[in-house]
Amino acid sequence: MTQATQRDEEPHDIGAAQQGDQQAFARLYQSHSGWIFGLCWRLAGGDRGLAEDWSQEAFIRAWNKLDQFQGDGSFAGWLRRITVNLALSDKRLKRSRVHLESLDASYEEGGYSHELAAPSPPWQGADQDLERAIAQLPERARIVLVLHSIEGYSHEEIAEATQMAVGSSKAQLHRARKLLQDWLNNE
Amino acid sequence: MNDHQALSQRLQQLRGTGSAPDDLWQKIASQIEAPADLPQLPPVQKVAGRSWMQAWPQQLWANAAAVFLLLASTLLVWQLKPVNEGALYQLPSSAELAAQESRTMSIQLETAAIDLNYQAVAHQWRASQVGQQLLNDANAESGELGLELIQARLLQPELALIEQSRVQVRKALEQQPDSALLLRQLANLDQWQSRLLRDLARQTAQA
Repeated sequence: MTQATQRDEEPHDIGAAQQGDQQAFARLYQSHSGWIFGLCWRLAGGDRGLAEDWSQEAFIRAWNKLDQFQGDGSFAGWLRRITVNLALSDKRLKRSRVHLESLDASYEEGGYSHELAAPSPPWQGADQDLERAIAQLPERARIVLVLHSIEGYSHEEIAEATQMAVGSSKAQLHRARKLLQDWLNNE
Repeated sequence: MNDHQALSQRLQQLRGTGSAPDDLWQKIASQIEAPADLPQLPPVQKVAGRSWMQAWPQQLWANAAAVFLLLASTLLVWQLKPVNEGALYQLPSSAELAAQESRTMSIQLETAAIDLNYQAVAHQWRASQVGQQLLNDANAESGELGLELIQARLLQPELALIEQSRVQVRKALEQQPDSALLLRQLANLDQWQSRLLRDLARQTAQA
């Protein structure tokens, strides 16, 4: 089945899944699970286990909340919001603000290097160098970069999702791009 | 294209890329499947080939028939209710109670008479056996056993038992004077008593 055909069938599958059709939901999973896992992997900084947990939980939440999807926007956008909110809320639980600040401080002091451990994405055909560099970015810089430069979030949306100021989001993005430029140019 | 634009382009190309682990769907499917122990709700009944608007007259008649049967059964139970209650809760009169007690006493007395009859027969049989044995012994001892001893060992206990039975049967007859069984029992006792007395007299004569 081509991607175009999948897109054509998607409204039907969404409706069927909303009626409890697991086969239809499985087709939706087939269409969206790849990029959802990629998004989770990047937000998790290359932590595959965490990315799997988020991906799994995101689809389970989507299944449980399917009746709330009204079709106002795209199904992919709805699924993306579920995934990002899930990942960010889990981050807030797992890592304290103090820990995040300490990571950023270590970066500011120059003691943070992407050469320490560079996980590669577990799928073929990816921009491996860029993926490894993103995975090594400081936490908040990485989240802002992924949401803004890859997923297309605005700074206002990022500020709302991450509970940081819009200026901070812009600053984190600047820092992330600067780091990536330096690392990629040195390789 | 400067470095900034090149980086932006590379980042945008990452959008939508990735690949989920092969076993991820199995983990998800295992958690979104309905629990096996929950009963499945039956499908909504649908009249084959017809919409609800077309089928509602048939359902109306079915419902009306059900209501009619319910009302009919209720009326039937209502009509039977007084009869059942009277049969269940009506108390017997004093005369009926007396009759029941009389019947019960009669049965008890007849049972006692039958038991006495059995005992009398058993004693008579045993007395005859013992008496015969005593007579044999007496003959073997060359007639040394006297009549008094025979009476003491054999006939007197049997005669006393028969007399005791006759007293009990007479008492029973005072309560149930029309009892044929008691009358017949008393007659038997009299007959046995007479027979024992004749035997005693014969044995006395032979001695």
